[in-house]
Amino acid sequence: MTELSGKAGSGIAMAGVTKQYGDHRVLDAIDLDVRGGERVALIGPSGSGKTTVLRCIARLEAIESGSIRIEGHEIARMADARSGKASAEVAAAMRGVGMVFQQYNLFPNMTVLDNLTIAPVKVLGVDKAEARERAAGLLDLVGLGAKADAYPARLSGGQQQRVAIARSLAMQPSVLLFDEVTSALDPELVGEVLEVIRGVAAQSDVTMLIVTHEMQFARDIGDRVVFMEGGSVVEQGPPEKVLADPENERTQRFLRRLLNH
Amino acid sequence: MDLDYLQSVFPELLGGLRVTVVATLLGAAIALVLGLLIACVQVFRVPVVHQVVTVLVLAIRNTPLLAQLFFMYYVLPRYGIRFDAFTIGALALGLHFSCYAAQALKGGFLAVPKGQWEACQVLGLGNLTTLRSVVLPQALPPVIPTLTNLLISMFKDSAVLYAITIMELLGTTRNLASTSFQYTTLFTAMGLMYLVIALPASIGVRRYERRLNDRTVRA
Ligand SMILES: Nc1ncnc2c1ncn2[C@@H]1O[C@H](COP(=O)(O)OP(=O)(O)O)[C@@H](O)[C@H]1O
Ligand SMILES: [Mg+2]
Repeated sequence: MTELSGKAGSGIAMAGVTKQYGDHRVLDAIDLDVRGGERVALIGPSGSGKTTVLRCIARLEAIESGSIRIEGHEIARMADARSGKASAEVAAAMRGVGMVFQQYNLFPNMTVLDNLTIAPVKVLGVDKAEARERAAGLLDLVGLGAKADAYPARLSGGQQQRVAIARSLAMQPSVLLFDEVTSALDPELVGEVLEVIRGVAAQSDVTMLIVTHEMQFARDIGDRVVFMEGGSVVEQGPPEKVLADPENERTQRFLRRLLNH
Repeated sequence: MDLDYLQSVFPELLGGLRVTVVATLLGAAIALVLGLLIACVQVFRVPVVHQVVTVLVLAIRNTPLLAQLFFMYYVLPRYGIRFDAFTIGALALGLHFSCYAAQALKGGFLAVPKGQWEACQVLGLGNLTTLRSVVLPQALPPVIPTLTNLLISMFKDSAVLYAITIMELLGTTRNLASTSFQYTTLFTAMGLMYLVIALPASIGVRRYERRLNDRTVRA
């Protein structure tokens, strides 16, 4: 697969990360490692801090203490730093990190194709024609080759999310973060998006950290499942172990509640 | 109305209107650029600059345009800052209205969903690309009516430039009247000239707003 040349590095390493909103400690000295090329499904009750974990890795949030490494480079934005601006080294490391949001966040003022080419052209300096060609390939990969010239508003939620996945792939990331990417979708559109993520996982060795409420999906895609609650990791291990036969009582309670839904 | 008289002075009145229009356009260009800068400084909360700009904006919004005009015309030259009256006039208009334009633009910026800024950040787009390619194209359309209304206000308020000897439309009319005493004819014609330009702009804004509303209701 030429479009997906994402190479596995040493992945993500979070150590002792504490994040507070005011007095509210949302991440409590959390440790979380994702090895290069590994697929980790992050699960846990609403408000447990899953989104915050991803946002800290993406440098959208500053942390109070701890360390976050991407491919070995320290990238954490510290709350007490004088400026939130990334150094050149950090910016370079962050170029390898892509994120797919719950609300897609496509640029509504651009065509689908322009959504995919803007970052490669402006950030990586890829030649325009080449960027378009690669973008077309990625759109084919997510099954939307025919929608290149459409505006996002014309697409269904599922299609928009597939475009958003293609947009993040256009930067040839080595790390991809997914934040409940199907929870804004109508149930009948969930499948097509999960299918695309499965395809990307099968055809590349991108490191993936996936927050999801779809337990079947977590089980299929995850090399490992991490369950978190109250801002720290409670239990982790192989999907079949954590999801079917969890040891921690809090994991059991969470899964039981999901089942009864 | 004395039509023969009007015909004889019409070129002069047109000349005045031309000065009014040019001053307005120059002022608008200054107001837009300056307004954008002020809005950016405030949205990004640039340290120190942000506080200084906020104080300046407060000062400008809470004093009369005419007072600002006199200040720039009479006070600045004492400190070695010398421009001709027309330049001072355009600068004063631009500076005054930039504060209102900044407010509108800032509103437009902040109305762009946070997720758009975050998507830009995660993609590594710099501040400039984020603004130019993503934020401005979404922030501008909703504030175009406000900006156009400001432009219309500036067009009308440019009459104050008469106070610093600029022969724009009002000044030209007044001058003609002081020798011919044809007040009715002159001031009626002047009013109509302001109207001919401002009214279509106002109607255009109304139409645009209605179209924008339709679109957002449908979307
Ligand atoms: N911007 C914010 N300001 C204050 N509190 C926040 C903010 N974002 C999230 N939180 C709080 O942080 C906690 C964790 O949120 P989040 O990471 O979104 O959890 P999850 O994704 O697991 O549902 C929640 O209690 C939430 O209310
Ligand atoms: Mg969340």
